[in-house]
Amino acid sequence: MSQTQAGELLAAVRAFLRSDVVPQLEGFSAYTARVAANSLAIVLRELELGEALSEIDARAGVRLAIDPQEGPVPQQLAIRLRDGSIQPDPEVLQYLKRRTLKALEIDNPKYSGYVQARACWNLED
Amino acid sequence: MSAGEAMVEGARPMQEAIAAALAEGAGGGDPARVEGLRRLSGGANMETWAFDWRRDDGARPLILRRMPAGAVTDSVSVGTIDLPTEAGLLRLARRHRVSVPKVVQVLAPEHGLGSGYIMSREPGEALPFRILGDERYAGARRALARQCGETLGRIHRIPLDALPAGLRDLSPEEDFERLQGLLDQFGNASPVHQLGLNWLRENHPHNSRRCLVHGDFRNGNLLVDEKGLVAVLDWELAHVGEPAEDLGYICGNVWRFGRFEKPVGGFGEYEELLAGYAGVTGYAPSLEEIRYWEVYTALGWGIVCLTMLDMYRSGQDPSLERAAVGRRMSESEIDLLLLLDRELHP
Repeated sequence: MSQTQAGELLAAVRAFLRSDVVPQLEGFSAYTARVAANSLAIVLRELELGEALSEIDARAGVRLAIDPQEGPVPQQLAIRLRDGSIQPDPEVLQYLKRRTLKALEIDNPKYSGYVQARACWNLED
Repeated sequence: MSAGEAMVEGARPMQEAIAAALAEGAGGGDPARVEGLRRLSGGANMETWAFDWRRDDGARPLILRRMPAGAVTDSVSVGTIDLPTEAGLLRLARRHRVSVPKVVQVLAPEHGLGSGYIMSREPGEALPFRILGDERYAGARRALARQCGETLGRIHRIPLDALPAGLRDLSPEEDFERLQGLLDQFGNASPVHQLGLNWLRENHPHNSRRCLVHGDFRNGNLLVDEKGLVAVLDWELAHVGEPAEDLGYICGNVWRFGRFEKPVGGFGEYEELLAGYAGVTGYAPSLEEIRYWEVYTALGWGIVCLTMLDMYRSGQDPSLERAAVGRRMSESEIDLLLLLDRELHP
């Protein structure tokens, strides 16, 4: 046995919000409590998948010759797409699709765009 | 939010202030006539309240939309119009046979309720999941896309010279600069948003038609009953622009609420929307143009998410709702990539 893990605490609070708090509230407060429970679910998924997302960015940084010291890879790529020094070639698109899929897996895996993209994008490493 | 303890300017009970605003010209208002006051939606600045106004001939269901005096307006970042202008637009739209709530009273400073207005509370459902899921609305779903097209047609036929002053009216180039300015202001967080904006710049359809654009005409802002559309709500993003913007907006994937196989709001088909529109205006944009504005809508949703996050981080509106919407940015990114995938590498 170890002490209660961070993820376990989050899951317990989320369950408490959903089963105890939400039924006792109504209107805007009930809505906000559901948003709170859902926010904890996002944090739980980020605990599990956040590292994989960082790895996707780090690998793209190497391929696109972006120095992570200058700032986050997505931001640096955005600036280069803005000034035209990087073009949206298939490799860039491949990276953006892969990172966005991973982000949705954390943020909202039920989103219909995520479901569609999973079905129609064939992303090879 | 419970209403009993709601206070407004000068620690005055809210019921009392509302009664006084409604009783103007008819003797002092009786706060006991304001019944069932409850807050419907959040946000630190903009408030929506529902209540019944008891009169001798029965109860009248009403809505108060207000921004308390001293609240920081988010109009600069989000591009919204102020509430008195919104009330004016509702009255104008009603005169042009657009189904909208009836404005009963525009608030004045002496009412002590901040800025805003009181309007009729129309019966109907606005929750997208009910409209798309409940058997009760099966008939409405069959009629809605065409009705939306007809209603947008009537909105777009309102003469430009009848519009109140102060509506945003940007050329496409100015609008691209506005969007780029927002992406820069929010720290160039998303390469997908930049990709989307670059594509929008290069592929603008150059439609020279200009009209009143509702700007937020979508499932969720439409009041619906069993027969279909009852009223168009939420006019705060109204501006002058191209007709296809509104038509593409309601087809944006984020506003289909999961029913992506039904392009119009999750309930209807492009052809129905455009047929309804052409029936009123005698004109319909091409499907290609609609798709262009779907890309614009996906980017717009991303910018809304960034704006909400900025409001949270700056402390302007430190509510959970703002923080949570900020986290939905990736929805806009996947929608943009799905749309652009076909365009960049057909």
